[in-house]
Amino acid sequence: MMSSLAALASKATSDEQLLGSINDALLQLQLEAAGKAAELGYKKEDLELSRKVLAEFLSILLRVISGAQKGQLLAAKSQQEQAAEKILLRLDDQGKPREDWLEDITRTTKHLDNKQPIDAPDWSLLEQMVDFLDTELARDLVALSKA
Amino acid sequence: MRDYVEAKVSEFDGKLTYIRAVIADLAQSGSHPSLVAELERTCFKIQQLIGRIRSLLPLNLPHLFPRIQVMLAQITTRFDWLEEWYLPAIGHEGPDEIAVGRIIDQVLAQLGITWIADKVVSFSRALAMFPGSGNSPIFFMPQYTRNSLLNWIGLYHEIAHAIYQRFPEIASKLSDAVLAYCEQQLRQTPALTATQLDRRTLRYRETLAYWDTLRLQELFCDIFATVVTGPAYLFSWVDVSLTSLDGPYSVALDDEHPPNAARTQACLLSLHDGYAATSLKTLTNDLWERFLERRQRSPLYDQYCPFELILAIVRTSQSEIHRLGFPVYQTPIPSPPNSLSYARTDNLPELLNVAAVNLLFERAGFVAWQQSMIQRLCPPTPSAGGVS
Repeated sequence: MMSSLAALASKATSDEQLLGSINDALLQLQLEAAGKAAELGYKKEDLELSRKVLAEFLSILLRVISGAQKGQLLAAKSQQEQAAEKILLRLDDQGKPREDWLEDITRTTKHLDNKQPIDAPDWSLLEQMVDFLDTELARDLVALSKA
Repeated sequence: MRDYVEAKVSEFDGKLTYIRAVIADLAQSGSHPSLVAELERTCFKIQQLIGRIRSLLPLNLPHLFPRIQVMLAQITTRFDWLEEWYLPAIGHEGPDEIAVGRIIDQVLAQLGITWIADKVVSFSRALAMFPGSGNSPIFFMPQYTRNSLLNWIGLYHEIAHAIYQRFPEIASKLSDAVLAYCEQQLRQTPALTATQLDRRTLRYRETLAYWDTLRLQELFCDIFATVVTGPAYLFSWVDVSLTSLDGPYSVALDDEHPPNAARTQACLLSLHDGYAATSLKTLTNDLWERFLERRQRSPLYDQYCPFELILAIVRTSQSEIHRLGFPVYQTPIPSPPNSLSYARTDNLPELLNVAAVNLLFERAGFVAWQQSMIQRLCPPTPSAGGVS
């Protein structure tokens, strides 16, 4: 009744799955950009799905950041919303204004949604998102080891 | 970097071969067929990740290494899942653990929980549950649980974690309840300055953030356990609080558990009305009230755990528990001295309520009664201790 094991272990499992899906989607698009996606067996549908996975996650992040900017109260319900809230805390630690993050995320989301080429700033942003999710999972695992 | 990744993948391959051999032995023993299938699935996922890394390496694209590194971390996490949790628990499972497992099966069946196809019991740590993927959890409990009836009650709290994980809509509805409470408070327009209003908004944003899914989950588990076991859980929880070093109103931001006073409040509010005048409920309530005397509520407690908010969480949890069809415990509890003649073992909540009554009101006869009930509930096994 005082152990956090169950709650922390299920959070770690969900966070690991989310990190895996975002990392995999990004990998597929990086392979596509390098002209190697077909060589590794990824089809057009797989790549479209990967764009959708990343765009959806960024849209949720966008909603969470804009909500916080406007002072709205938001309840983080889905696993992705909870992850986005944690990312918001990390973004605030980076020293870059929230408005700039909003601008960057909006731009990358548009590129993903409209199947436009993904450029260097987009890759950098997407890689940063994976790093944030990675950090959250690392924290989960530390907490789990202490539970 | 490429050489390192190749070496690491070979190391993982070796580990995977070892683990598959352990799982094959387990499969051959015929025990835990569902769990064996789940562990094999985990091995297969590890194998897939290893295969994907191997297919990426010949491309020699340095910008893919961060992606590969995440995959290496995923493999490590899955190995830990197997090596730190499941394999030791299975390896130490003996007749005592299997006997306890049978009682857990009975509890799960009475609650109508059909999705837990398998489970492992381990006496290696305090009462807790490792959910795994949800269908084959590990139930941890101290070995003395076998000989102490009231220690069984926390099992219902742990089972509630499995329910919370199984039905994500519970988390969603509870988050909505907290949000609705905060929004309602903010809609009120007292005569405050702009600065005071800003501070008030910030306070409710902090309250909303405090009630994240982990804390809501812990409170839901207390509410569930009270609903399905009645006053025995309330008493057991107050007992835990009274012997805890934490102050009842202490708010620890780094702890996933809400303050003990908020948890007790939730248990009191969740208890079926039929128990309001029972001696067990009255005595538990008195104990709690005396414990709170001369203890000051902290401003942080008042901010995060106001009565109306705890009530909203309780009402939403109760509504979810009813919607999902879990049984509400409302059986009358035998009064002393008749309670000492209670001899059934087929209804654990009833037995635990009688145990609480006998402990508090029939102390002289409690030890002998408990011993005889333990003999029936969980008879001693031929060889005590862990035999795999």
